[in-house]
Amino acid sequence: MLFYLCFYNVSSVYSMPIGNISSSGKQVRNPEYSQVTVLKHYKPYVVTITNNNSKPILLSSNTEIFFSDGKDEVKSLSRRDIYRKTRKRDMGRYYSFAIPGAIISGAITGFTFFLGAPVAAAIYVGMSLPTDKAVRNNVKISQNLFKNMDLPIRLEPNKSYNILFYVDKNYNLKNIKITNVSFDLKNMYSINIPIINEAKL
Amino acid sequence: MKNLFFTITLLFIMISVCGCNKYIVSTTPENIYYGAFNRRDMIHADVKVYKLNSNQECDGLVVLNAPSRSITLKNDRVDAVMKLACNDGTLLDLDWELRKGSFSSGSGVGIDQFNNKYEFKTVSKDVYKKIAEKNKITFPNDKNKSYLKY
Repeated sequence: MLFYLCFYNVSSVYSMPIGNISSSGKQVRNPEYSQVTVLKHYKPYVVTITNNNSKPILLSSNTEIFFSDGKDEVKSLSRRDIYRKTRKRDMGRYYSFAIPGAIISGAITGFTFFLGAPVAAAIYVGMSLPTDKAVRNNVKISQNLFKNMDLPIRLEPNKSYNILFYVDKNYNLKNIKITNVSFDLKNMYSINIPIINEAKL
Repeated sequence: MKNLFFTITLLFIMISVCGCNKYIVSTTPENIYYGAFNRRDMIHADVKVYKLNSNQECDGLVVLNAPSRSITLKNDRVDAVMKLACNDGTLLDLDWELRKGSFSSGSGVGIDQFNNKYEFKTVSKDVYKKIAEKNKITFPNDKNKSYLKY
């Protein structure tokens, strides 16, 4: 179900691969990503791209990301849309579990003082604390999309970039393609990034 | 009791429709942009900007690089990233400093993919109205897709 929320099925996209690029991608193994949050639906991949050309590679607003499992290609949602979806569901969890949990436990403690405090503490630890922790972690993970692992608008010569992608958990990713990149926004190329599956960082 | 319910409902409607737009303009004379961002949660807002005397329009988002909730940094200026994509293919990456609590009193500097420099700052609604050709701003949402495709 989430697969259809996150990706559109599209026909294959043909464009000439750009030369003098070295790239590779790996699935990230990070304890933070095992939090029971909305990101349990995604597999994070970190991709390294190095532009070995003498000129910068420019992205445009027509640039799109395609994922391939070796047979078909699917278009990824934009980082903005993925970010909005994760944050929206995060806040849903926060408002439905964490805040009511904190209010109930606070009310029980307030009304009954010492006798109710252990019950309130149990409610707080059961409802509010884990959700709050998960949401806070998820905020940090979501911010990484833009904070330090963003896809830059121009890839400078002889410089490497680490870029974060979120891919559906059930998708067997083999290749990432970044389309509509160029040196001058006239002749468009694509960047192909082979993925090393099951690698551990 | 009935009056109280009516007052609360009225207040809720007023808060809902008044919006939380923070208006921005570019401060580079050769490229005058005007627009706003609309806060969606504690750390991100949708952005829409228009170029003056042009059909160019851009949209995207701004994300605060700060903890979502903390006792400190309540309304300090924190770093933020703004990403914009325009209908003519231009992409803009801007680094902002914004007040965390209100998304206001900030300024941003950045480049497009051709390395042209852009400078933005937040302004009051009165200043915005003097510059803007369009007063109504339509933000991208789930129905109105953003120009930011990747």
